[in-house]
Amino acid sequence: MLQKLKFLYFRHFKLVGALGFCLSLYFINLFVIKGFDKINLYNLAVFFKLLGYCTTLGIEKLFFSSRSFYYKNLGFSYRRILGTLFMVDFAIFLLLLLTSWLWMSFI
Amino acid sequence: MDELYIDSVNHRYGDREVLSSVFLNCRVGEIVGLLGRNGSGKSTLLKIIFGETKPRFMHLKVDGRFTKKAYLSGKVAYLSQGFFIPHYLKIGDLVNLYTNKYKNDLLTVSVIKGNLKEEIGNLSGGNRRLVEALLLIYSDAKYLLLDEPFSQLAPIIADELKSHIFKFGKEKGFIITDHYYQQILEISSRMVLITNGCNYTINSEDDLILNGYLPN
Repeated sequence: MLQKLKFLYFRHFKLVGALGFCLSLYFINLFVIKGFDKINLYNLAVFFKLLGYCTTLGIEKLFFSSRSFYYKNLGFSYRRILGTLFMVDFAIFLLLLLTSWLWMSFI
Repeated sequence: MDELYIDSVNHRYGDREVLSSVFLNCRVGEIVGLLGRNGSGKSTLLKIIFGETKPRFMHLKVDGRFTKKAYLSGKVAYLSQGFFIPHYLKIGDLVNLYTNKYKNDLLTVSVIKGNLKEEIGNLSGGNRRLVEALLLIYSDAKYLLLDEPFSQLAPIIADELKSHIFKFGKEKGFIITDHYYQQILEISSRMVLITNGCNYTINSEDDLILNGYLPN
């Protein structure tokens, strides 16, 4: 199951993953420059992350709907594939944020 | 209990009731032929079973367990009418992705063996259709819903596909729909006709005439 998911992410969602990671790095950079106490910056980061997720979902549904049976015959729903992708992307963002905050606080 | 079971299926497209209290079951070892005119709801019924289309009402069990989307069980696969695998994927990768238990058997099939490094989109329409069907037939899925598997296939390729279906006829359950009704008559162990939103058991070609599927 894990092998199948790995194949699907590397073959079809490489670009989405890379864009999500770049967006995370961009916001981490902003946090480092502006400081970690700016509430609006957190809101902005979450807004752009959500925008990215919605765009990905929209593109997948609009232009790649024929892939639906391809995923489903492997036993996966869109919810599972994209949900896992978005969850991992957001977790990486939070991890980077925490690491950079610790880095800036103690070093 | 090794059975795919669906009943009380009710589905509408707008004001038109396509399926009304439809019942269908398929046991492992059975090849069920599903016939019906264009627009009678055959494909819709298969999509409802698979979990692609949400009906107004249904009652679905896979091996005795209630479910709303059969594909989530991993025991049901669906061959759609159109190509469903992205054209840029290599056949070798697809074999690894879809098959497990029967992988070595599939690797002996000539159309697979000779094209392992080929992208599936580079195959001819008929061969691509055959490869997609084979990937599902040789997968671990226990029940296969084949929606018009013989369309686009040359007679020799259709015969090859039939031989693979027969090969797994005892180990898996098949529900097959097609307009080439003679192919269905030839391979199925049981037949069902969907007409006017209801299902009827078919025992011979005469029943098809009686129910208005074939001209008198």
